[in-house]
Amino acid sequence: MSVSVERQDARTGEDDAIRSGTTSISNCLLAMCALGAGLVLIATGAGSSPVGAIPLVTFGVAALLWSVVVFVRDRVPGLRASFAGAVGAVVVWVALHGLASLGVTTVPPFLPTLSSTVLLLSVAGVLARRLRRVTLASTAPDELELDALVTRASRRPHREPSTGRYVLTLLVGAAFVAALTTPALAQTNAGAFAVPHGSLHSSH
Amino acid sequence: MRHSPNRLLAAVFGAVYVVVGLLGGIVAGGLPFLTTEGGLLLGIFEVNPLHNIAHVLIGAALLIAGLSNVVAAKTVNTVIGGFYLLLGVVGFFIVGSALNILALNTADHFLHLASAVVLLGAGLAADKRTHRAATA
Repeated sequence: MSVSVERQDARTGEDDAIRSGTTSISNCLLAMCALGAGLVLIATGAGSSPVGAIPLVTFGVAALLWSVVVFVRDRVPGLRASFAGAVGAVVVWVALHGLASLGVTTVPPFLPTLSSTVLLLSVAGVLARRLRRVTLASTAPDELELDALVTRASRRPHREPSTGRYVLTLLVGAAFVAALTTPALAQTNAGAFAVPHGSLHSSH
Repeated sequence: MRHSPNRLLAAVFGAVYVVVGLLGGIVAGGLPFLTTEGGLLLGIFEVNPLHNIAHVLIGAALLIAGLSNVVAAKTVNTVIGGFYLLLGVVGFFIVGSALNILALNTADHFLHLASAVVLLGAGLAADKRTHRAATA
């Protein structure tokens, strides 16, 4: 019974989860990246023409919701679908730049494109690695090999990080995401009004 | 406190925000309460008197929660993290307008977004079992 539970964990790629009621560091970082990417996608979509706004806002809202689910549940919902979503959002950026060159929509600003692509590809990279592990586990030819994989996978994860290390990782992750997100938001249509900050009220 | 990420973060962020609020009083002392053009704290972060009061109140809430217990710290971190996330995004839409009653600039947005990600992340992700047991 317990072996089958462990197998299930290995198959869903959750072998590095912490079981003590705290979301694993890797999942926290994934959620942070998705949060930053979601904010940039929504802010960019809000200032775009409908052709760009609909997919950008849709992917942005999905990324925000996805990040909350990962934070709360310490689990990536639908590993393959999540991977497809992260790659799909990058494809949307590429498609929008292509459409803009044809004059169908406005050109998406550079920094938001760059920063959200970096964040989305970071998420996609980690998910691809987990997918690969799941594939390996599910295609193991015999029971002994599968058991060995499960044992190896379940040995690493249950180590709980110290509170200090956990907090430090959260701080570094948040600084990384904010450093990528803030200049990107400043280049969106909404943020463009923020750049000449102070000049509009110089008469006060 | 050493064993709870939420308590540790709430206490540290609370102390920092209280100090920032008090220091802000020096650079924005003589300014109108709701001015959209504040003084520069550390030469970077723009603040006005209302912004300083908000920092002190938020810092006090975080500090008290962090020194109290895990449930309080987790709840306050989540609420303030969510608020800062909203402020970090909405801030971009109101800068340069009369609605910018907190005198926000881009450096403020960076700080608010970073605080939001950390506090919201810790509030949602850490100490779940403790929270569940305490609220059951």
